[in-house]
Amino acid sequence: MENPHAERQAVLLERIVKNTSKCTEMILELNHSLEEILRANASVKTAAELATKYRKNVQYNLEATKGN
Amino acid sequence: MSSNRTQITPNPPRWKPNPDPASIVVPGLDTDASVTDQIEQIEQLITIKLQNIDENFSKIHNALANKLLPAVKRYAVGTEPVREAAKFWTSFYEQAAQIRIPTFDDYSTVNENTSEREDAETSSQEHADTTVQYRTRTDQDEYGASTVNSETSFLPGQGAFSSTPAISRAATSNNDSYANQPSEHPSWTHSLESPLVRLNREINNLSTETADESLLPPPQSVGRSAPDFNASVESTFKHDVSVLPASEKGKGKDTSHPLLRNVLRHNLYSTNDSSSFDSKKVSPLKFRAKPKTPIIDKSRNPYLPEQASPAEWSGIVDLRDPSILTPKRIARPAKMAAATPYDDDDSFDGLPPGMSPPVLMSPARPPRSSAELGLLKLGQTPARDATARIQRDLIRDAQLKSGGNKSDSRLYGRKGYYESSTSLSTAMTPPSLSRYNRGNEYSTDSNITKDSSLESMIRHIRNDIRPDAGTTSASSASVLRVRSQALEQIHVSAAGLRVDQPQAQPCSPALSELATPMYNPVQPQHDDLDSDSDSLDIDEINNTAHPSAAFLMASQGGQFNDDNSFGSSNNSSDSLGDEDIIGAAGIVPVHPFAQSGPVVEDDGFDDDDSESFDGFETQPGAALGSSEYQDETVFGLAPAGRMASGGDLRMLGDDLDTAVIDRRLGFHRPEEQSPTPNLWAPR
Repeated sequence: MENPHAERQAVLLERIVKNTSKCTEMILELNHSLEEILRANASVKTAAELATKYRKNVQYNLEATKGN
Repeated sequence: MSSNRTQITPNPPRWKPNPDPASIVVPGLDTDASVTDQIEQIEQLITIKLQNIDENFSKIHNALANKLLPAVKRYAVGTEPVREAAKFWTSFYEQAAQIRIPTFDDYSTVNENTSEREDAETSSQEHADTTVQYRTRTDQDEYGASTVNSETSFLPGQGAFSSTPAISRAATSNNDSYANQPSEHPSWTHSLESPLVRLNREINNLSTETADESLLPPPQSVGRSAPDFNASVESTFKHDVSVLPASEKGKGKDTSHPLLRNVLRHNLYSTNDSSSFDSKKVSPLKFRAKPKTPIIDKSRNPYLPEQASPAEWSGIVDLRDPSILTPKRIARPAKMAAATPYDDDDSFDGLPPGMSPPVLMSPARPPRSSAELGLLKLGQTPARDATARIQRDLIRDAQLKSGGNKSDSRLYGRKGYYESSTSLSTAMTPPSLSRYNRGNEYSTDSNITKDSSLESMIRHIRNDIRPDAGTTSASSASVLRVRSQALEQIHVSAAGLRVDQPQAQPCSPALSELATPMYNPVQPQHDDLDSDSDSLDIDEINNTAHPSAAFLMASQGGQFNDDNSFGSSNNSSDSLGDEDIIGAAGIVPVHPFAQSGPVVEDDGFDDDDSESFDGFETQPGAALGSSEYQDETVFGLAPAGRMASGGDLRMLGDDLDTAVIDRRLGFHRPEEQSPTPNLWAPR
């Protein structure tokens, strides 16, 4: 009796499962890409920190030797 | 996030299953209908809901695939220059401070986590303690420690690395075993860093080391080092510190490591001493202890005023004070006194052993990757290989051409090319990539000898013949005949050639290879012609490469502007049509269309711009695609063998889109030396 419904619903469920698995994969890919970007940005962060440190030190040294 | 973005609507509260079936309300359900009907309706509602769910998921998938992922990838690509710059600057600071900043790639093992963290903590404490005291000493101190801190906090399980020689020099403690540290560090860092990174570092060290070697009298170094090394690793390091460039310090000199050992020492030590290295194999496991910061003897402080005790040193050095510029020699500890007289060698200008010799920083340059240096085998593809080689050669050419004048601007080999290639009179041709074809041994030196030009011409012609492999024997025979004629003529003309003359008439042979000859007018008499042909080229390149090539060739040839050539070129698109030209001219490269079988020509060339190719391939290289030749003899394969092999040889460089590469590199090739600059001059 509910066979037609069940059949239709089964098909729909099948599609849903397929879509979800594909979405999962894409999200995994997204994660990987973001991870790579993050890793790459780490070096940018390092460089930025180095630059700030350098500037800070230079500033300090200049201040320290200003009197001389 | 920024407020201009649309707010994400929060999710509705989660649905909870209703425990009481009687109170369930199904919207849309006709409660008046019979139960069966209601069941039907419910079923249908379920189906619809499932459908909606499916639709939502597919929407998600679409959005992800079509918008999100590409956007992220574009972001990654777009930030690539930023990353390169960051890499460069970190290497810059690394060199300045002579430290090593751990990057993500350096951490290959997880087992080092604990030791790293401990080290990070100790170094951070050290940093806190000595901040005030040593702040003025150098900037590198803080780089090391602060970098460690940030790395530790930023990335899990990371952050420690070797301390700087500057710190060691700054009398942190009186431990004599400063030399112990490098020996420990190397093994530790070596266990951490990837082999690629290590190799890269070794190369850098080697390059800087060789730069400083001129300071060292080799025999003395040998004599000095031999007894030391036998005595102990520490003493070796101590001496080496004074000898080797500062970049060596703290960079993990691991003499126990065979590769590094060989790379670093082979220049310094004779083969006799190598046995001492081998016999003294130290297991890296020995140094698995927690690495300590290098500690140097306080008395070796170069900035320490005379007769002052190290403990009294305030730590503040006025760098402006000229008296500081020549640090005084520090009396070595007694045990070092047994060392060779090298310590007092005047060639060191009185630098104390703890003081690194002044390292002149090379002009700012992106770190030379191992791949660029040709040492990196992993991740090397033919394309990358080719691009690396191309870059190297271009830079070299540019530097040669400029006579070293603008060496700075040519460091990257980019803008400089542009700037100098504006005037027609300089007649700079777009860089020719044909020299990379077939891995031929064509000299990339700008000064081409006549012999090489001859050979290149020969190769050219040989290459030209190759495309005919697929053609009829008759045509190929005619081509061969013509080739031989051309060869003879080349011989004759080469005698009168000014080899250094730029460009050359697009050397017709070149035309045969390239469908889009870009042509820099060299001969003044061809200027107008050339300019016309240039525009023609540009216009026609994208449309049909052939006619322009034929036209150019014909125009250059001067006399043999036979109508045949035009006609044939326009009509034919393969080698058969060249017979007319060949017959008419009896010379010239013959084929504007000659293309070696599967080769290219159109592939990379159609969208080619002026900057990427020389139309006139002065280079022996022949067509870009045709680098796969089997160079059995000077003249290449015997024609018979060539035909036999068929036209299905593919070049590895086939996929090489030199146009794109050149454009990306921003190169304008320096004007190429044509092997036959005057060959195709109008008679």
